Amino acid sequence: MFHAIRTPGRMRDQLKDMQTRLREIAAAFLERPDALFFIGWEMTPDEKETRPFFARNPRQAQRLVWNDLCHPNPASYLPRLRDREGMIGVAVKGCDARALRELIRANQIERKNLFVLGIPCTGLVDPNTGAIASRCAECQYPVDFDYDETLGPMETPALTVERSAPDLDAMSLQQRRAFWKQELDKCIRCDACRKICYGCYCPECIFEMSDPKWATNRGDLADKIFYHAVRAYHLAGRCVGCDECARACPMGVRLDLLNRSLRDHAKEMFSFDGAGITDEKPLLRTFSTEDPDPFFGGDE
Amino acid sequence: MSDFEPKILIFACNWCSYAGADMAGVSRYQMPPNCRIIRVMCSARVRPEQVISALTQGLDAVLVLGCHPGDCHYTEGNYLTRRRGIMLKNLLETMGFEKNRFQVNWVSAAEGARFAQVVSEFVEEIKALGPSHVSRDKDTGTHA
Amino acid sequence: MTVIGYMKRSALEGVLGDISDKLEVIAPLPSGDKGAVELRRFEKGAQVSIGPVKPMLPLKTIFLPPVEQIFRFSKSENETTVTASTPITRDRVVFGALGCDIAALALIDEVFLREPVDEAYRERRTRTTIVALACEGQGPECFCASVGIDPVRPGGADVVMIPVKDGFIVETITKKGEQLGTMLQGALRDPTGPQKKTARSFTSTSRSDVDLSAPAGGWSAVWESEAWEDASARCIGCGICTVVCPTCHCFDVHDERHGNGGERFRKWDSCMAVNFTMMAHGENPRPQHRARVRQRYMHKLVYFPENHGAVACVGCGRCAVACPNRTGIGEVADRMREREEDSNE
Ligand code: SF4
Ligand code: SF4
Ligand code: SF4
Ligand code: SF4
Ligand code: FES
Repeated sequence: MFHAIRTPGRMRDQLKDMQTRLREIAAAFLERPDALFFIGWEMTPDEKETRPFFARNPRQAQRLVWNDLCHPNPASYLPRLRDREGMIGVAVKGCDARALRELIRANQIERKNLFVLGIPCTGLVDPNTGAIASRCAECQYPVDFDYDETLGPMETPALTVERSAPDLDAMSLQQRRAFWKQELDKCIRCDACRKICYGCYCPECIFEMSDPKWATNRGDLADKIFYHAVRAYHLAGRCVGCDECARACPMGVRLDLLNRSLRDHAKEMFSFDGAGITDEKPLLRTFSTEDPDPFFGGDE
Repeated sequence: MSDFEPKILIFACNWCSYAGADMAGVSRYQMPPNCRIIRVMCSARVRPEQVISALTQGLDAVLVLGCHPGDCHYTEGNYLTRRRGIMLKNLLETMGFEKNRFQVNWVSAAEGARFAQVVSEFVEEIKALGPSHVSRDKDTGTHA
Repeated sequence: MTVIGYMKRSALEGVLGDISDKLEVIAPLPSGDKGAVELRRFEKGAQVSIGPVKPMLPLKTIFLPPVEQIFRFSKSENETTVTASTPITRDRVVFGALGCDIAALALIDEVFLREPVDEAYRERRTRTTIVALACEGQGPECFCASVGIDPVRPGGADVVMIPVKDGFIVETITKKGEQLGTMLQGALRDPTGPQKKTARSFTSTSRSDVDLSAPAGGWSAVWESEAWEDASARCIGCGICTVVCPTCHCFDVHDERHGNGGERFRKWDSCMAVNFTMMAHGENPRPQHRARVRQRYMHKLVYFPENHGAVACVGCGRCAVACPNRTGIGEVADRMREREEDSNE
């Protein structure tokens, strides 16, 4: 039940091979007495996509898959499992590994309780169009990350992928405004984009607080601007670009563009490499006295 | 738009900018009536959420004032403010706000005249921009 | 049920335009550029997108809007004025409603039309005529036939439009439907024999093999089952399943004040949200994720049938489509039954 869409035959065999090894490694891990489960992917019931799968025993490990549809980020489940006693196995591709590194640094999970299987990813495809996912255009594997096992060299794949349109920076103010009005009109404030994100692990989310009540509930444009600006800002310097938020959105809101623009700006203004690539301090917890000062009259 | 009176929120840090405002007052500088000033211990105490919240709940602009870089009472607060401010400003622009609706600036305790100048210029700039595109009906909070 | 004639597909927008002079017309309209549709107010000149896709948001939005103002208030020197909001100002007609969504209204009626009656809901309900589109099964997710719904002539519809070549056979079912029928007259022709025949034999591909029945020993036997752990493991608790579900109807009431005034409104809520059960004193009686997941299925499959006599699922399959992890109610029911046989896979 392997569904590669437009991955060339030769590569498909290679992926299938990796899937076999993934199952073996997961099964072996699940033989350990202290193993709780192994988080990877399985096919969805319609077999057109994959979804996260928690394998609990070696037999269930046979349901795990690895292919070019493995979009979900298994590491995003770890914060809520932090108090479990025992070992958790987790399969990570490049973007997931960056998320995992951020989680470990932020003390959301302890490295010693994890069994990490690294998977060299060669780019995923969009299940609807068959094209390589645009996020893979920005793929970067973490540098010197500590995996327990890997299915090959954990290096950034060389991919030729176009960035997805539109380019917000190239738009005029009026165009951007119109663009966001159109996008946010679609938003139904279900909060899936926030709940799917590996980085949204606050025990009490600002959007759920009632005292002080930060977010109003009216659901009009202003509320949605507040929601989307704050959500994106909270991920500034932490977003690994996995685009899970955009994938989860049932209304097709292009909020990936907000994250991307924050990543671009961090790079442009502060030469920030991206979250989870190295162990360098988080973007907004650090500074340089040489940071630009674009506000008017900054030095006098 | 000359008769437009914007609603403006100013955050000023206790150790420099708020003292600067006092100084301006002593020199008989009249605070423009459309500005509300909130004293915070350090410019880094201003949460980006507060700025976004203000801009989406009916205010036309937000100005954060702190000590000059290097002079923060808590040594590095204003450097953090600067980074956060830059990221926030870019984000707001990406989302369709004019680039000057949110600004950060530095005013020391001795700079009463500078305080007056920074604030007046800011008010003029916002007047020229006109009302924020996310303005709300003042009394019900719903959009007009 | 009376066949009142044949209407050409190409005449539809014109007819809706004429009706919109007298009634507010709501129809599936294209939304965004990805081929999605949305039930919205039809304005003259708009293109209707009837048939090909199920709107992501169900028909309930027309009767129980996502956000609904109850009243607004404002305060001056020495006076406070409170203005009640009007639910709707004109009689309305919804075109192209689907069987699953219409059947769901009957379930929501059980809640909102029982004493104490929800007046805003009642007014919207009584002042709206429902024109169903006989549904041939909109996608692989459809399983209304499994829960006893007739997707072709759904109970609760006032008029039914059955797709035939290049148009529809129009049948009226209720008094309200007949009234609407008179407004359609100008666009109707006598149907030909083959057209009538197609309409009579119209069938749906909706799956009839989805099983929502209880596990052996009843649902109470699985209350503490480890299977909920499995069923909730990959769930991120976003609550999209409740948003898109045509039978979910929980709401919360908010007061919000801005300046010298404010408003009270109700807004959809979701049992999947942490705050759903949050008490004013800060205690949350349902703090665990798995208990929230269990609540959703228990409400649909156990409590609702106990209180109102029917399972609160109409087989639209939206939950499985919208869920970021593609988990639908059918799969969860299977899982819970399976569990009893194979309790530790
Ligand atoms: S960004 Fe794309 S290519 Fe890189 S690891 Fe993630 S899914 Fe794979
Ligand atoms: S997932 Fe989409 S619809 Fe839901 S809150 Fe996020 S952007 Fe809005
Ligand atoms: S904000 Fe979106 S793209 Fe960024 S890490 Fe979170 S889910 Fe991934
Ligand atoms: S539970 Fe799922 S299939 Fe059933 S009515 Fe609700 S959304 Fe549709
Ligand atoms: S105390 Fe003035 S900016 Fe920190």
